[in-house]
Amino acid sequence: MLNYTIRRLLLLIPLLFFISVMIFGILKLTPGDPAVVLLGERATEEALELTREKYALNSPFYVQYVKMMGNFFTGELKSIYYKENVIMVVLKKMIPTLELGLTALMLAIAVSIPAGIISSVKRNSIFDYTSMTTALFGISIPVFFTGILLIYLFAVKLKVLPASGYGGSMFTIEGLRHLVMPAFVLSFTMMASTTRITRSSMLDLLQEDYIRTARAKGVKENQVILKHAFKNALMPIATNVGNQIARLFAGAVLTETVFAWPGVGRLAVNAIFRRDEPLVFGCVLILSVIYVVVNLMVDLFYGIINPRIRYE
Amino acid sequence: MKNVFIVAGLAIFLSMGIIHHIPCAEAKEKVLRIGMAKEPAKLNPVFIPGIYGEAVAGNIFDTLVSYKENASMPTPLLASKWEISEDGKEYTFHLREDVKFHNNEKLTAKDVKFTLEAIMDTANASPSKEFFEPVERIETDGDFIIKLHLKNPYAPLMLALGSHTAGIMPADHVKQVGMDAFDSHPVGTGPFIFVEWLPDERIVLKKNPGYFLAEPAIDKVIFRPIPKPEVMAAEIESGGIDIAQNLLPQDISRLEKEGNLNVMTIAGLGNSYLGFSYKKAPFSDPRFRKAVYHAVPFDAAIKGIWKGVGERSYSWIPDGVFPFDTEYMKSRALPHDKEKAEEYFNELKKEGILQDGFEFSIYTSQNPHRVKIATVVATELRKYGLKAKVESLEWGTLFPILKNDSGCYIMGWGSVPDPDRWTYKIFHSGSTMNFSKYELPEIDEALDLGRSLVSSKQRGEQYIKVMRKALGEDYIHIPLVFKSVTVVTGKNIEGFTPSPQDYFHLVTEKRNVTVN
Repeated sequence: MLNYTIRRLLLLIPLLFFISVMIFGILKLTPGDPAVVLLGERATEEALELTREKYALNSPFYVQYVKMMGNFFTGELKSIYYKENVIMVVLKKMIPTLELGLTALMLAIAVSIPAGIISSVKRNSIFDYTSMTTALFGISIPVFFTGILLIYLFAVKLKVLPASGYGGSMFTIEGLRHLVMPAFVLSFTMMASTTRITRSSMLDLLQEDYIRTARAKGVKENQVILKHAFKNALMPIATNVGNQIARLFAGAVLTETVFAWPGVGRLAVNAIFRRDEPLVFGCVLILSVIYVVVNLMVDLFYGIINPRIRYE
Repeated sequence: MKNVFIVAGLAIFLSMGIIHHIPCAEAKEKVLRIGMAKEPAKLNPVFIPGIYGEAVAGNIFDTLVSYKENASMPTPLLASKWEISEDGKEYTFHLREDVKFHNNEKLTAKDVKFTLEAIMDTANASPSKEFFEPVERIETDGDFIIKLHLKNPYAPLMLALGSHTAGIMPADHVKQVGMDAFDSHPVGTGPFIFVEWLPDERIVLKKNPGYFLAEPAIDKVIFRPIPKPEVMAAEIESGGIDIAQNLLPQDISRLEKEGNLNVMTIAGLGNSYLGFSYKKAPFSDPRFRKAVYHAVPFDAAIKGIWKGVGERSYSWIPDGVFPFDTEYMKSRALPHDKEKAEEYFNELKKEGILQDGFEFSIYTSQNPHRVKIATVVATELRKYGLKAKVESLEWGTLFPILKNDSGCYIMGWGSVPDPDRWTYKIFHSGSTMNFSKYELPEIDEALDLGRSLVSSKQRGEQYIKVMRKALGEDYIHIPLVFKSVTVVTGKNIEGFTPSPQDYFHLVTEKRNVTVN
């Protein structure tokens, strides 16, 4: 397992090289001049030229690429906009992002796994139909619609929650109050896939022979469902949740925009609009590393939930 | 894991129960929360590229003269009085002697000299540099007198000095920390002291108790970027912020019915227009431009789209700015007339300038109003066999396209109340913002004269000439709308009035905004 982990981590190097070339290429293919965006509508040609020089936007692409990579690894890659090390810029936004993402994910798991299990056990019941329809709504209704609906209800009409913004750490009351709505809205979109996957893998398993055997030897129904069936259904669920965890680090742009939440998603999108090339580059690289590492952790987790899996 | 859920669940319930405690705890401190559509890009005045930065900087920094209360007449601020020489080439300012920066340094003439030179220094690439182009040199005379020598008379200089982008910075401090670090920790002489800037979250200022005009009545100001206008409306409605701007027309009409809010609308200093290329066929043919003018029911469309947030315009120069020529310009507007449009288009087709089924794009920004009017224009033109499509792009992509002569576009402009700022960059042949590539020696000449003449009357004549020729004869643009500024505040906010340029002035010689 140690060998496997090391090998996977070593594979990161060529992968990141590939990603960095890709992202740099896309950046350079994107129309728009960072200097123009930075200086705004009033800029003169002279000022533009100076800014291009300042950020080395005039040198050949390979020179720019090598410089960017070099700066990234020495920790000197600075955002044009924030004038700060890109790693620091991203890390600062990581706290609100993770607070929002993890809370939403926990909410989603807390609702969708039980809902999926009950749906599979009481197949074609009213509960099953209701939860499947709700899941369908969750995945189809855009966040800016549910978000604004909730804001209108809870902030404008009932006046129990703040409409938007970040209230500080989630372990303070103000922080938590600001977190409730965005986390709920985001979790709504996550619930759908987990519920459906839980339901379908449970349905498959509940028809297996060993389940019938368990029931026949008198195991309680609860035990049959949770221990015999659900434990085996965990594999696809873990894959799904793992994917969601990895994606969560990149932030949720729509939710963050609606709720004016200062997260990584908004940071990255704003960086693209501002043509803050170093920040886009650094941001995507950091997120790629996280994505790959989280996926690796999920793979290793398989070994824990299913001891039959061995890493060679 | 289970415990975390229980704790989180409990905490949510608890917090819902005790929300009423929070406003009470903060009641002692007077906090003003302002919602902004966008976060400022910069806070260092020399670097500020647009209104959001200016709106915040206007509360941290002071300028030599102020236009905060009267947008067309300078009033004393850091300079208590000034003299302009007969030939209009020498400006002498006498500074107040009781002004201190937020770091307790005393304001002297050398700070003013340093700031203006920083704007003019090419190395800083300041977006405001060109407004100081005519300045030849700056000299100090003692600690409190500063003299500006100009190459030629330049009427808009006072406006440049009164703009928030010319906020005076402490020379020694800036030299010590550097221009970039100063941008994230600005220090000025203004009514509020910079506290912190959390990107995408908030900018916090606290009051400057020793402010020379008056002690601010508010203890703390929080500027919050709220990107969604619907959410901005919900915030002001639920009391999450005290002042809201850039709202949607439908939200404004709803908020007007709300009992505890003040909705204030004033004429703004911003426009939208439909522009054509002067060089590229078929747009370069005046008949094409007139045909479009006749083909689209602009009056009705504008009324529908900008309902309550803008008024139909006929010129580039808004009513609050001299010269006043609205009657004439209005008489030159072309009415909606399908037959005339048809006639012009047929003529152009016959001459081979325009092909049937001609395909082109109307380029515009992502401003929803502009996208809508572009769609109206494109839809109407289809009736005449022109296949126009709307391309709404973000600035970084759009700007290079416009600079390379896009043919047909819908853009806007906003500026201070001086006709030079409203026309020079748009109509002068060499300017970057002249997206139409409009080029006429007589126009250039009139624009140059308008800069160097001093009397408003003589200057006005030049601008009347420019507007009548460019818009009333050549129809190089179709003026669409002058936007109005609507600001919604809570009833508990006292003394605040909106600014035509979307600024938030809180403490001036005439006002001291407070929260009850």
